[in-house]
Amino acid sequence: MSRADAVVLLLALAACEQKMRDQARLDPLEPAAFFADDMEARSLPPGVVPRGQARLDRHLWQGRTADNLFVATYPFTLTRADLARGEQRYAIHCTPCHGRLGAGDGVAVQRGYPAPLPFTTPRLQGAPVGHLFDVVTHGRATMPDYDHIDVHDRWRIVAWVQVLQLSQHAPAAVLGADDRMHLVEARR
Amino acid sequence: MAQLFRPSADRRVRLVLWGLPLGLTLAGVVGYYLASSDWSTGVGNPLAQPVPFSHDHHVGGLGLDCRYCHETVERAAFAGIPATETCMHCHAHLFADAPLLAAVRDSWAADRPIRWQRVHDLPDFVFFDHSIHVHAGVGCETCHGRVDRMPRIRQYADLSMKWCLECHRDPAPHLRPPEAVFVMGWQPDPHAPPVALDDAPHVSCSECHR
Repeated sequence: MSRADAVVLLLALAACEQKMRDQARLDPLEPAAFFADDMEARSLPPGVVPRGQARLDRHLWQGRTADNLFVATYPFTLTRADLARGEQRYAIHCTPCHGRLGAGDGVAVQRGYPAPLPFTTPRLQGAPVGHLFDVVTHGRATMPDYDHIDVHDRWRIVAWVQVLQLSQHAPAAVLGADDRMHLVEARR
Repeated sequence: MAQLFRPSADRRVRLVLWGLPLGLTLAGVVGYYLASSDWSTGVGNPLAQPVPFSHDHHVGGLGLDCRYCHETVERAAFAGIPATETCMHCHAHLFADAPLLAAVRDSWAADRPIRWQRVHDLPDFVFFDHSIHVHAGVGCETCHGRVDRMPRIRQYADLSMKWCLECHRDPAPHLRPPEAVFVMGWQPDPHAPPVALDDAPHVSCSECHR
């Protein structure tokens, strides 16, 4: 075999190796033998705060005042877009248990998950938004925490919960003329 | 002087002359079909997973939104594989003793992630970004198929460059309105105007290769 033959043969073999397909870098969640636990995704060492990400705004991050009381206001001005986003995020994360209207009859509950209180429960109707935010963030009783949801989205979800509360408990007097007509027609 | 070649040498020369091009062509054809076969691309072949998770049950049956578990799909290149904690949201209470979920409970107790086997694995020289595609109106179903009917997740598209380019050259027929991106089994309204693109098709090499 001549040297040229050998080169051609080697090139042909090299083509089968696909080194570019799996390069010396890590994809998300790829096994990483470099670390003792074989995990690419590293968690932060305890106590570390990423630069510029200290959660100093208690109103935004904890829903509490400086006196540790639940706030009664939102940390930012809500727009119609925020409500739409809240509705969407509520549908993704909350409906499996709470149901579309917040009655506590979602698909998980229908299959035996302990039923949450309906949002129209008097105790929840009057709850400050800070309390609702706290429950979304840290969970409560059998509800797990949802602090992986973006903090602003958590407030928008709270806003949508308030929309659901209001929409099922609004006195007819506060409705606009059109809506009152619908109500009257629906009664007939 | 004696003859250098015997009469059979003619036959051998002919065999090589015909056989070489025929053999190379055959190898090329077989190679092409082999490389684009499901066996090679991984289409349709469910991998053995540590937990027999069923999208058919969770999406098709219960109606969970894709984003309950794949939560970074709208803001990152990687759609996200749910943490064990996400499974335990429900399974701390539902089917909490089911033998099928033993690996989930072990993972939760030992604080060790479940080792899911990756089904959709693009080569490292392709830089795919989920968030861009989702915001452009590419539905999950367009690339992943009817996930809500897959008791075991499997690859739907062959993920070849040819397949990518078929859509990149003329994306409009494949796009959906924003509210339909995460819907399975969506059918376009035959009377609706086609989705209008606000820029030219992205087909240069460096769109996907860097």
